[in-house]
Amino acid sequence: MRKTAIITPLLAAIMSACSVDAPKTFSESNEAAPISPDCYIGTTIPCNILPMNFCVDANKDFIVKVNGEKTAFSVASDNGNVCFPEEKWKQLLLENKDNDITFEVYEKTSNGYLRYAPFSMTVSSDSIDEYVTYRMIEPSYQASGEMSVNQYNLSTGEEQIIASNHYAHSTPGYRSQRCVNCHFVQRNNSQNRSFYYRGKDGGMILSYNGTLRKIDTKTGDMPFSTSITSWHPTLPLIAFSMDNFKQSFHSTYKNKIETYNLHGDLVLYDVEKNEMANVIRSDNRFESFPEWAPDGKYLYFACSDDDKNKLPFDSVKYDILRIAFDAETRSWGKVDTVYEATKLDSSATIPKISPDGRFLAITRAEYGMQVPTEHSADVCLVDLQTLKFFPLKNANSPLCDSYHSWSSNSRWLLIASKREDGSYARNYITHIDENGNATKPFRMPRLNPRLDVDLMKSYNVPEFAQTEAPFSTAEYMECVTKEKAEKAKFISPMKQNVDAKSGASQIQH
Amino acid sequence: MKAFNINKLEYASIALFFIVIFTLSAACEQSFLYALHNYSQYLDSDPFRSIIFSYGAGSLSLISRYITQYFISPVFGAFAVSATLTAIYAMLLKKISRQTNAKKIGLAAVPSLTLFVAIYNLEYLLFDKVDGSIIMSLLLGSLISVLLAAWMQVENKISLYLSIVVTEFSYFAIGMFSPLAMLIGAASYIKRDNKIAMMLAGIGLASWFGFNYITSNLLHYEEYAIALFAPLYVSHSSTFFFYTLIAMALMIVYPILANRCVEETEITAKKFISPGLAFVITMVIAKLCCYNDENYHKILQLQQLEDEENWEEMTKVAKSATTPTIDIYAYYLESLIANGEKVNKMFDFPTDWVSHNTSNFTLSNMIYYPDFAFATGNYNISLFHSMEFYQLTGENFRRIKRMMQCAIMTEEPELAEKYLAILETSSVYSDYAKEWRKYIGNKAQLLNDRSAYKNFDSYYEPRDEWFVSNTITDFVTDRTDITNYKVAEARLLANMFLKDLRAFSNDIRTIAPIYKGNLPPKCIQQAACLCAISGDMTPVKSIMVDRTVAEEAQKFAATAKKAGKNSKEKLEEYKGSYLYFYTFKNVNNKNYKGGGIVK
Repeated sequence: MRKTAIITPLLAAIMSACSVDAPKTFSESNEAAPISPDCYIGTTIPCNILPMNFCVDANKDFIVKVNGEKTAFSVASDNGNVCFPEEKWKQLLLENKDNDITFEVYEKTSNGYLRYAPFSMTVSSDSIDEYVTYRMIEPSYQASGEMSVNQYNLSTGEEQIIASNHYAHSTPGYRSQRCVNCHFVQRNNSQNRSFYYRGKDGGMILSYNGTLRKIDTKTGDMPFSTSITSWHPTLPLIAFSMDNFKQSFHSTYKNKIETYNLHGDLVLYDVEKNEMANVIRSDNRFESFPEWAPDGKYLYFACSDDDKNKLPFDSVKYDILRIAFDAETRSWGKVDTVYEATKLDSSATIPKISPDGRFLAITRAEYGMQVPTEHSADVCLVDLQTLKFFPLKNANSPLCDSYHSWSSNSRWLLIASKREDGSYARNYITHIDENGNATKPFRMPRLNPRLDVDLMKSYNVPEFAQTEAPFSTAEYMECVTKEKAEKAKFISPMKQNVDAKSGASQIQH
Repeated sequence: MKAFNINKLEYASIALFFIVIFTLSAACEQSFLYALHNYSQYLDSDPFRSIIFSYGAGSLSLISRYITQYFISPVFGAFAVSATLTAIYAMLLKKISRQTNAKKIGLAAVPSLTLFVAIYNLEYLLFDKVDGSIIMSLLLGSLISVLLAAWMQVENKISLYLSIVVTEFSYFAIGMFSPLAMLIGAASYIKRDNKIAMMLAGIGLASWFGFNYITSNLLHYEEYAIALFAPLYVSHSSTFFFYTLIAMALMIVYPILANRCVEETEITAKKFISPGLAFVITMVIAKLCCYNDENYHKILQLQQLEDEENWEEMTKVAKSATTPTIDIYAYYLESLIANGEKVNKMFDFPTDWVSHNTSNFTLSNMIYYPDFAFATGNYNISLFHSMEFYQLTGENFRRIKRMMQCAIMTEEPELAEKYLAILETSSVYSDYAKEWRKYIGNKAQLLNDRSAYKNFDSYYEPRDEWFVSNTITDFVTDRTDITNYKVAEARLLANMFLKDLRAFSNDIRTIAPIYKGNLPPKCIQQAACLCAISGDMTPVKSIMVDRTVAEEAQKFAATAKKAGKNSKEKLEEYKGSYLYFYTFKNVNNKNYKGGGIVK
């Protein structure tokens, strides 16, 4: 384990602001407090979040006072970091559930202290899942340089690497460029989870009921390996899409990359039987981004409106469909269209349903499926009871807002957003009330508030998890370096040619 | 033989040692020392310092990074290296106590000279994942180990306790000792015998390298190795460990071996045999382990010249390559594009190419892609490669500068601001950042102030809807729009570079109208003549060809035919022309799918 995990928080604490008293005499300014990120001003935060540390001008001295209903405390900063003591912060949040806490920022000037316009944060009584997992990767995806799947504790700010392609290489002195990706957890039991370690002798690293296995999921007549993953909420089943993603690069255009799919079908994997079966195999449509409904009765997915050879690239658009699933007979039923984005000349992908089953969160963009590269991408909601559409204007930005995940209580939505500079994705969190209204999102706080500012990597595919990863990094990497992966059995060898929009095949058992 | 006054000789030898090392470093390793500063990112901010400090060998890395950033002045780099090596030499000279003759000067010099050879053979690591401060880390680490070894010879309890405190601290902050190394170091005190104690201390010190190497390369857990055993923040580099292992072991054990020599006061050539032999063996090992691409220094030199925007010199240096590679050619083209003279000079380049091959994980394209893509106006590709190689090859000021330039060229102020903010926190690049800040949101000003950037930007006149691919060939061939003059001409030049005259002939029929009424560049006329000589008259019918050019081509063909195997010597006068390039350059076009415009 890197010492960073131990020493960095310690040093951050040492270097951070010391406790002081707020100035009693000061002049006032109507200007907003010069803090970074400024999205903290007026946002809503969960009652169990770590301190919302932020940055100020490193060349000046500041005192920041935080006021709650009962508790108030102040911290000083002379290095640009405003860091709140963790115990006092926790107490503050506990005492102020469903109330505002206010922040007064005092800047030390030659004429004494100057107080900027105080700002507040609303403390929601809705708690947030303790962990977030994500992949850390450069904003481009060519060389598979150094990437890792990390988990971050939203209550303590501790970050750990679950697996990294930097840890394992098969030949001494040679760094293989292998991809670590697609980390997903089972909604109701986040001890069950999976991710991929691609390349030679790679496979899906599967932790299930306390066991750790490496599975080769490309089996039977599957032309491509599995990628996007959705665990059935309760059963030992995983729905996968079988994709063939490709990239092209704009020479100067701000979207920079076009990521598109040349194949897209859905398969189902039985974890306990190690069996793979078709869900939908169609030649003229793409199906991808599977997502189980919270009750496990439907599998939602994105489906392209036309054939794979359609050109130009920006004419390929996706709708959100769903297919019925009978858990008892394990058979598939009727296909419905849930959200027809193509009618609005747009594309909808990444369906994610709130655990209470009320809202479908999607990413809507002008075209395409891998929209995290498109600046037009926005996260939106569809009320599954009324089919009302919520554009979530409060939560989106003019730049790319894309990959999203629901907290287990359906009240928090995690969004990977490139709003800060158009290239580096950062995790933003917004509160969604029972009516589908979003609050101003805040950037996932860090103990060291400069970390995200200087970080030269993107947060990719962020997902909430209620618990930490069940195995240590060493155990995961031991599994990764196993020579052989278990080959999944393919139990529906016939190639089924089923149009996803008109019907689905039956899985034979 | 006359006996020397040893003390004076010692001082003189220390001075001489410094002068020789400094001169060699300053004269031969300027580009390498300059390159080190790029790969040794040091930011003047507490969060940055806390992160580096938390690494294995954190404080050593922090100090080394701080010093190495000033290698932006290579003379300072040469001074820092030679001063530290001289200090190690002087310490060893003091430790070899029994020798009272000049022989001990030779003996004491061996470990320091070994280090000298080692550090300048570590250079290729710059293109692998490396912290550029390794050189200073190694030197300072060596100095500390010499001091520690001397300390362990003092037999009293205080020194033992202090050394344990130091080693404990070192484990967390300097990363000097693995637990086993600490144990062996402590055991050396119990033995109370100087020789055995020093041997044990030497084994202890050597073991941190050994464990590091074993864990990182055999057990495949680099990060663990770094955290548990790392003396320095360096990953998976066997060469590095071999060098340091040899150098450190020599420094620790060497005084004991040296002290075993018989006390003598006279110098004879015979007495230099053993240290001389040790040095030769070290040199041989160093050479066997080192990277043998002679053009490595040339690439570093080209990158330095590019940083300085000294395009004319860059052209000269690239052209002087005796065994050119694609990397050097890419920088050659970049300098030509910067000066707006590519079409006239792109084939005036040595034809004896060698395939680029490195012994370690080093992608050839990592070296030049970001730069070449930028020079051809493919800013997104340049940005992406810079982003990834920033991670792959280590934090790097050069990459940050390139990313910042890309963001300015694509007019993304927030992104440019991110990189500028990092550069501004650096002592050595704060002025540079201020200079470039005025271009944020003002690309026109940049193009107006720096003609090279104007040439880069207009090289292809890239368009939003254009896609680009990943190879040097694709940079110049993946174009479907041939109505654009620059693109069309670049496409013809690409066909010619790849010696694909068939594609040239196909393309020129469509492209010819852009030259209507004018003579095309001479190299294109020569290519058309070569087609005609081989029986394809389409190109010469499509474009105007100057009579003298046609005659020259005929003469060239006739001479070549007559000279047969000796034609290269006979055709020396045509060097620099496309005729010569076409005839004698080896083209690696295994990934080339063939030309022809897709309409």
